[in-house]
Amino acid sequence: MIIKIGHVDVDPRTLDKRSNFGSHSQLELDVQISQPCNIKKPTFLLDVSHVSPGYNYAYVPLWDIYYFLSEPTIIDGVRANVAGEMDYLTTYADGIKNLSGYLVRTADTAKRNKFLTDNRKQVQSNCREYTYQFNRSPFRANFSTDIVYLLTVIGGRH
Amino acid sequence: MDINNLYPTRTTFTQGSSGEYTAEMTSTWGSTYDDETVNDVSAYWLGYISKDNLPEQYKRGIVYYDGAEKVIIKDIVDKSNFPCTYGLFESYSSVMQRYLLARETDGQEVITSNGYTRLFNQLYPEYIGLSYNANSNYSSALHITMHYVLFDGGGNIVNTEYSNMYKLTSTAGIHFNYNGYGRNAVKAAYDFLFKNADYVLNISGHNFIIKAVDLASGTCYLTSDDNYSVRLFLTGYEINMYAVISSSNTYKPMGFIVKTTQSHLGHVYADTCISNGADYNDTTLWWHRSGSTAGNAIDQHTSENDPIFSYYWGFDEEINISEIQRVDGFNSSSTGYAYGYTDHVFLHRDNQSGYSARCILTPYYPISTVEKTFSLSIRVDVSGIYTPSYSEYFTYATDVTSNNEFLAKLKTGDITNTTFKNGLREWQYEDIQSDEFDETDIPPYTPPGPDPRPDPEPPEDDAEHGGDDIEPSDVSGLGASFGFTTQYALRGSQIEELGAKLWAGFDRTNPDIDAFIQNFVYNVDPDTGSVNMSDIMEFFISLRAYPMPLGNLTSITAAGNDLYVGAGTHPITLTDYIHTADSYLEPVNAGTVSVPFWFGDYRDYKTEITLYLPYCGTAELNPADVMGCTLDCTYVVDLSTGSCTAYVWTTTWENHRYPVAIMPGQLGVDIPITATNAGRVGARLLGDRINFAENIMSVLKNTATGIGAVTSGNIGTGIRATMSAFIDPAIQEQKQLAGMADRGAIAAPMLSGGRGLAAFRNPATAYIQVRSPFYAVPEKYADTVGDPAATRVQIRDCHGFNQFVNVDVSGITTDAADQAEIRRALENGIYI
Repeated sequence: MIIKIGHVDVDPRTLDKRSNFGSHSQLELDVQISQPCNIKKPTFLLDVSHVSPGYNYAYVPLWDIYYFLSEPTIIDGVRANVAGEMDYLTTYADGIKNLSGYLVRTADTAKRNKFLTDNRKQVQSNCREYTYQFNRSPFRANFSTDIVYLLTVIGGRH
Repeated sequence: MDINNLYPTRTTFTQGSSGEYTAEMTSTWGSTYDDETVNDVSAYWLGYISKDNLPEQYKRGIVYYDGAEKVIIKDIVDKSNFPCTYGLFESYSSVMQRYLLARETDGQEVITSNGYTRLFNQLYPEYIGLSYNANSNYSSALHITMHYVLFDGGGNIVNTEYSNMYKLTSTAGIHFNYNGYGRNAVKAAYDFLFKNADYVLNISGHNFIIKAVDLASGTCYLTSDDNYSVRLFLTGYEINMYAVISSSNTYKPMGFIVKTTQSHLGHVYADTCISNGADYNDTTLWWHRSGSTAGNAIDQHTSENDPIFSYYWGFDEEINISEIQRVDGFNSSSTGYAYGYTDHVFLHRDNQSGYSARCILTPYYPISTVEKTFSLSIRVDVSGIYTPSYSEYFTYATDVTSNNEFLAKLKTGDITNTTFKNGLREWQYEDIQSDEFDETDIPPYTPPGPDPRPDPEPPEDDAEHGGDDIEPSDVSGLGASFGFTTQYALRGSQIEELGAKLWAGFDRTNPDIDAFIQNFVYNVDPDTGSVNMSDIMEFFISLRAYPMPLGNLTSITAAGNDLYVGAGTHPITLTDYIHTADSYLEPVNAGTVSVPFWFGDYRDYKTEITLYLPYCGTAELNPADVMGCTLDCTYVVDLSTGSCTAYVWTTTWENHRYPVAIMPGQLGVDIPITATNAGRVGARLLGDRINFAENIMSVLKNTATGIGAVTSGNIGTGIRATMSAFIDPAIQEQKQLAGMADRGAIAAPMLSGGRGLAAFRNPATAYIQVRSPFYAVPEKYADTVGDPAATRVQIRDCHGFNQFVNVDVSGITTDAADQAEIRRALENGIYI
């Protein structure tokens, strides 16, 4: 069975790693699969020379499935087992992209709702204070010039 | 292409096999004199420009820049007639405009005149091409320097041409350095400045805001004349003065930009200030280049030929520039002088012998302070600019060191008006302030702290705008004075004077009982003829102090100098005009405030907001009523009681309007003036002292009552004796209590009810205080954690980190376990 092993250097949560996978050098191998085998979590039997911690990703064209590779285990100095775990995101990337859902958090500023409370933001105990004065005041407190005295008298007006 | 290479540099032409010339920049101008010979093609320069994108008919003789290619010039056969074409370099990332030069028609010589070859720009008629074709006619040579400022797309000055300003000529003739930017530099900057009004430039960390002001068309002045070599076009819509207005309102002119308005076939109008023709009119401003000798002058104007002697561009005859600055390197000699530019803009008044006084405007571009100021300049540089014995200069703003300074385009006025008020008077800010410059354009105070984010877009309002705006009731027309009482609105000095007049009889040094008696309200019994004396103090209801200038009372009436009480016909005449307040209710505008969003998101609504209202107190407000809103405050003052109510309304960013605070308070402060009044008022605050004062008042009152029983004669004696015995020490006591002047009983201790006069120390201006917590938000928070969202999307439309819920994964053709894994991954968040 043909398997392409290689490397990805993006977050495992990246939806579509195919371009990243393809941007790195790959090994195309004809391998055997240790049986019995769950094709979602297969164990690949590789030549020892093809085992490297740098190979963390694989693609099996036969199943059109992408795998995370891990736990390379040398069996007898000649062969090695490498565990594969299906990368659901990349394997079904095209279908996932067509899905619709309810977006609750996003890095996309165009889609975020700035007025939803973000409880993940840590609130510090200190605070800033700033004041805004009204742009005018009718009141003064200059006794010599700015105080008006109202003397109310009985009658008075002539 | 290194943008520095865009600057005019010396250019070397290499003739190709087909006769075309390839121009290549070879060096840059230095700051020393350049002494190019006429036929030295190295004196000519072109920028790196490429013609490839131009239409075919413009390719010949066209030079333009759109990248890094060299210029190709074709059909230049005779190098001696090769027009020195000035290039203005276009960078697509800059705001400079493309400058195209073209020959009139292919293969034909352009018209030269007076040493200038003028090029017609067919593609861009508003541009001119100025070609200086040096010849031996030095006296007619003109030299235009246009400098420009090159901005990048972000409005940051990238470089300036100031460093390449040409330097001048020796006395041996014209060897001019020309600045090839010519008009287009001006045009470019002009366009930039006009089209990018309010554009904020950052110049070496200082912010400038360019404010564009339209000039009144036709207000300034030179007209074109096809028949003459060059004219300076200084029409009102062409000339723009720029000035830096600092936040402290110091205001200095900086310089100006001129541009031509016409491109005439076969001619181009250069920006020179010279005319050698007599074809001018009253609105023509002739710029004169004074030569080193009369014979060298391009223009010889006599006063009768120069109608604009009294016309100064932007100045009147009487301008008196207080600061005269010499240009560095500016020296005079009998045959002209070397002229170096530094950072001056100056206007010459040339009183050179043999010439009428002229204005020679030689604005200038600052070199040393370019980081802080900039201007565009036009310079007329001719050989042998003469240092007149009498010069006036104005300097433009330099050394702008503070932020928030503005480069404002000024209006010019009618230069025929010799008392031109809109001229550039350095010290007269109001004269040069453009009508469109609004001091409120100065950025408002930004509270300390992190730079606030710009106001966000208003959140979507899913609900239709509903509800009603709430407006306050109209209080106009309420509380008229009904005639039972009179409210005299007096100043403090008038109160003191009143007290003195009331108690004049108690001046221990000069008791005037008669005056005292006169001030009693008395009636003559018509039947008996007896005089009934009343205690004047019975007619004083209250005296209250309001912390407002008299002018803030809207319903006041001037009432002459006489203060009447009761039905008495004998007024107390005061020195100053007195006023009466004719309404019990005074609505008083207490201003508005706009509170901007700080975060621009939900955090603005997590703030605590306190409203302080003078004489009322504080109130906590809902952030939704304040953030992004404009609040206005009106006090309604009840002059009958001294109370007030503050009404604070908000107008939200959605233009909803409703009240947010209605608070009562006490504005007027009672000042005790009568026994009863003093007892009530003072007892609350002074204790024993009040009792003492009350006793004093009682003595006075009783004495007055006794006086009232007196019908004649012994009034004065009795009063004097009684009053002197009691009042004199009492007054002294009260003076000590209140520290008041020797004014008598009115000088009571400054006591009052409520908060009292001590409340006058409270801030007199309402304000909003916002307390907002700090949030610890790490870098790249949104990139890795994401910001909250609440919208339905298709996953392919999303980018970056995104987290979904309730995704319908049935569209994925796989088993349920896989679907569950996919759903879980989406809910945990994925990078797209």
